[in-house]
Amino acid sequence: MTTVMVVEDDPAFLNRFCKIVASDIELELFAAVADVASARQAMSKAAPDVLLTDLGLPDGSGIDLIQETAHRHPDTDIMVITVFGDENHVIASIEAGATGYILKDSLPQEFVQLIKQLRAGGSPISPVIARQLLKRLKPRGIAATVGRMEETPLSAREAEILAFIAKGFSFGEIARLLGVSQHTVISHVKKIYQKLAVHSRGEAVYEAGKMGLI
Amino acid sequence: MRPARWGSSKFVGRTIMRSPPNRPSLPYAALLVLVIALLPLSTPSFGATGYPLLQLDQADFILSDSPEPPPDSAAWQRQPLPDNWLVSHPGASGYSWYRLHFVLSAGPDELYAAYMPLLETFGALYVNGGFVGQTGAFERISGTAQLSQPFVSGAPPVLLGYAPRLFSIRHDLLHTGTNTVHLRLWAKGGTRGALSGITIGPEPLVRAVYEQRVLVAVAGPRMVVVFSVGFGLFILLLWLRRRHETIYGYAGLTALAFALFIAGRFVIAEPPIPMPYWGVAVWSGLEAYIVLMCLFALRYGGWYRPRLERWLWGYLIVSPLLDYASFVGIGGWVIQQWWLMTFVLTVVYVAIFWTIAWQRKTLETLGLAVAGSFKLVISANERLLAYPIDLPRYQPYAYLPMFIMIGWMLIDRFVRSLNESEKLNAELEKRVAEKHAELARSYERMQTMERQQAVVEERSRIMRDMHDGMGAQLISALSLVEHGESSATEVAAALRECLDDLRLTIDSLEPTENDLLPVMGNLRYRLDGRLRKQGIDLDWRVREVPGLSCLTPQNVLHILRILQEAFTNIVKHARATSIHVETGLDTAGEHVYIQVRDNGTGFSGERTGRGIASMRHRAKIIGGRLEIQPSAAGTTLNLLLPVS
Repeated sequence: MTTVMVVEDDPAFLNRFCKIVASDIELELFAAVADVASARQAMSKAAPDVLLTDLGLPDGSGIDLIQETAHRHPDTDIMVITVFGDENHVIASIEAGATGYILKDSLPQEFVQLIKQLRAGGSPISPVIARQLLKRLKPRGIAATVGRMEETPLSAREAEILAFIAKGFSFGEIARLLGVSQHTVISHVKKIYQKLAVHSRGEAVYEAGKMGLI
Repeated sequence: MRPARWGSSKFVGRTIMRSPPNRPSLPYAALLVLVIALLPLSTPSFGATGYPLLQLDQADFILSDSPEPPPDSAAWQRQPLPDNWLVSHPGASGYSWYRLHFVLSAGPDELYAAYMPLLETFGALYVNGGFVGQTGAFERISGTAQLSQPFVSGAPPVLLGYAPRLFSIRHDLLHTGTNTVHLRLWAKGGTRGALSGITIGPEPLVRAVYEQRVLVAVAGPRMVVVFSVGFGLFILLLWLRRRHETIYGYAGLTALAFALFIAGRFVIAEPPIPMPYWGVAVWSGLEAYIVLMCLFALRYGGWYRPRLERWLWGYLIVSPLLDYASFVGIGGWVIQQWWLMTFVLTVVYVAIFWTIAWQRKTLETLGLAVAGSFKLVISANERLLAYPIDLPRYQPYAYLPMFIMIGWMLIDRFVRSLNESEKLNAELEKRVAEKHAELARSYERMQTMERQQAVVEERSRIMRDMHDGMGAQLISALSLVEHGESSATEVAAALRECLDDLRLTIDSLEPTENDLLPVMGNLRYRLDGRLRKQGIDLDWRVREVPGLSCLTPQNVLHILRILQEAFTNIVKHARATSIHVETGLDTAGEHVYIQVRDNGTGFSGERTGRGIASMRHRAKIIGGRLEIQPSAAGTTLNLLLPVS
C-alpha cells in the first residue's frame, strides 16, 4: 500500500486527485491540503510515501515545501503538479528535491501509473527536461571541480541516456539501443534527478561560500 | 708635358701677382683668432727649456752651379726669407745657393737641428762648410765630378701642400761665435722654387715645432679626407633610404667632393691620372662642393629658385672645360681668372645661410651661417689676400665646422623624430582606447535596441499565435458548449486540442540552438500518448542532422504545426497501424528532410485539402518544401528544410 498526500489549492483539482487516489486499491490517501502550513502540519509526525504538490500555493511556494520534505523525509518520493511540464517549473522542483512531475490534465490511469512507476524507482522525463539536465550537469573543467566534493557530474552512460531522451526516444527504444533493460534506463533517470538536486545544493553552498555567508 | 705650362697654372699665377708680406695682414689676424682655439700651431715658439730658437730670415743668394758652397767673394745678393722664386727670380732655373749667418754665445754640446716649413724643390744643407743633409736626389752632390741635371720623378707636385723639412746638425759642426749656413737649392724654371725662413736650435725643441707643422700640414689633411669620405658616404646612405629628403643627398655629395679636392690638393703627391686631367678633376671637386653647398642651403631654407639652380648646374658643367683650358694655358683673362667664381658662389651660400638665420633666429641656422662664414674667411684669406707662402694652409679644415653642424642637425632631427613618434604612439594608443570604449558603448546600445526589438517582435508573434491558434479553438469549443448539441466528450476533445496547441506554442519557445532533434523529441513526447491510445506504432528513426539556422521560434512553430497536422490527418483519416518517422540529410546535402510515412489508406477530402495547402504554405515560409506521395501502401510526407 502506497500512501499519497496531495497539496493543491484548486478545490476542483484537489477533489479530482483525491478521487483518483481513492479509486486505486494500491493507493491510500495520506492527506489532502490546500496550503503550505497545513502540509507542514500534516507531515509533522509522519510522512507519506508520495507527496504531490502544486507550486503556486496561497501561503508560500511549493518549492520550499519540496525542499523541507526532501530534507526531513528522504524516503518520500516527491512529484510536482504542473500544467505544461515546462522546464522552469520542473527543473526548479527537481533541484529542490522532487524526482518526478505530473501534468495537471493527465488522465486518471496515467496518473496512477506515474505514481506507481515513481515508487518503483522510475522518474518521468521529457526531451526538454533531458536537454536542460544535459546542459546543467555537463562535467566542467578540472579546475572547477577541484576541492568540491559535492560535484557529481553525469557518468558517460547517464549522458548518453539523456541525449537519447532529448531526441525523443522512449525508454524501451533506448534500452534496446543500449542493450540494457528498460528498468535500468528508468532508474538512471531518478539517479540523474538526485544528482541535479545534490549538484544544486553544492552550487548553493559554493555560491554562499563565495559570498562569505558561511 | 712641359713644366713651363705649369708656370701659368692658377696656383702659381696667383702668387706671382703679389709680393709676400712679412707681417700678418689684418684679415690674417682675424683668421688666427678664429682658428687659434682649434689649431694653435701656426708659429714657431720658444722651447720649454728657455733656449731661444734662432729664427733666420735674412740670407744672401746666388745662382750658381757650384757643387760646393761658393766663396764669400762670389756675387752674393741680399735676399730676405721667405723667398719665392716666382717673385724674386722669375724665369730662373737650376741650382742656387743661400748663405745665412747666426751667432752662438757658446759651442753647443747637444744635437742641433734646422727646420724649414718650406723648401722647394730640392735642397742640401751645409753648416760651416760641412754637409748636413739633403732632400730629393741630386746626382752626386759632392766630389769633383761635373754636375748634371737632378733626378726628377714624374710631374712636379703642383697641387700638393708643402711638407716641412727637418735637418739634424751634429754639434761638432757648430762653434762659439758666428756660424755660417749654406743651402743649395734646385728649382725648375716656372715652378714654385721657394725657401722659407730657417729655424735653428736644440734638436728636440726644433723637432717639436716641426712635428706641429707636420700635424697641421700633412697629417691633418689626411684625417680630414678620411673623415669627409666616411661622413659623406654615411649621409648618402641615409639619403638612399629617404630619397625625398634631397638635402641629405646634397650634404653627402658636398662632403665627397670636398674630400676629392683636399686629397688632390694636400694629400696625394703622385697624381693617379695624368696631368692636366687630374688637375681638372681636383679643381672640379672644389667647384662641385661649392655648388652643392649652395643647393644644400637652398633646400635647407626651403627656397624655390629654379633659375638660380639652373645657373648653378650650368656652372658645374662648364667649369671643367674652362679649367682644362686654364691648365693648358688657353684663353684670356676671363678663363685664367674663372676660379674667382668659387668665391662668388661661396658668398652666395653664406648669404643664404645668414638670411635663413636672420629669418628663423634658431641656434641651428645661426650655427650653419657661422660655419659657412668660416670657410669664406679662410678661402678669402688664403687665396684673395696676400698670404705668406711659408704659413700652413687651413683650407683642409674649412668645412669641418659645417660637417659638425650637419652632423648635429641630423642627430637633432633623429632624436626629435624618435621623441615625436613615441609621443604619437602614446597619443594613438589613447585614441584607440577611446574609440574602443566608444564602440563598446554603441555596440551595447545596439544590442539593447536589438533586444528590445526582439522582445517586441516576439510579443507580437505570440499575440498573433494565440489569436489564430488557441483563441480560435477556444471560440469553437465555446460555441460547442453554448449550442448544447455536443456531448461532453466532444467538448473535452476540442478543449484538449486547444491545450495541445498551447503546449506546441510553449515548446516552440524552447531554445533549439539550431538543433532539429530536440524539436522532434518534444513533438514525439507530446504525441506519443495519443498515438498509443489509437493503437498506432511509432517507428522513431531520427538521426543527427547538420545545424539549421532557420530554427527560429516562429519557424519551429511552423514545423511543429506541419507535423502535428500530418499526424492528425493520419490518426483521423488514414486508418494506419504504424508511422515511421525519420530525419536525415538529402543526397545533395542541401536539405534536411523530416519524413513521416504511414501504412494507411491515405487521406483526402476538402478539409484535409485545406490543411495540406496550409502545410505547404508554412513550409514555404520557412524556406523549405513539402512533398506528399500517396500510394497504395500508405502516404509518405517529406518536409525539406534548407541547410544554410
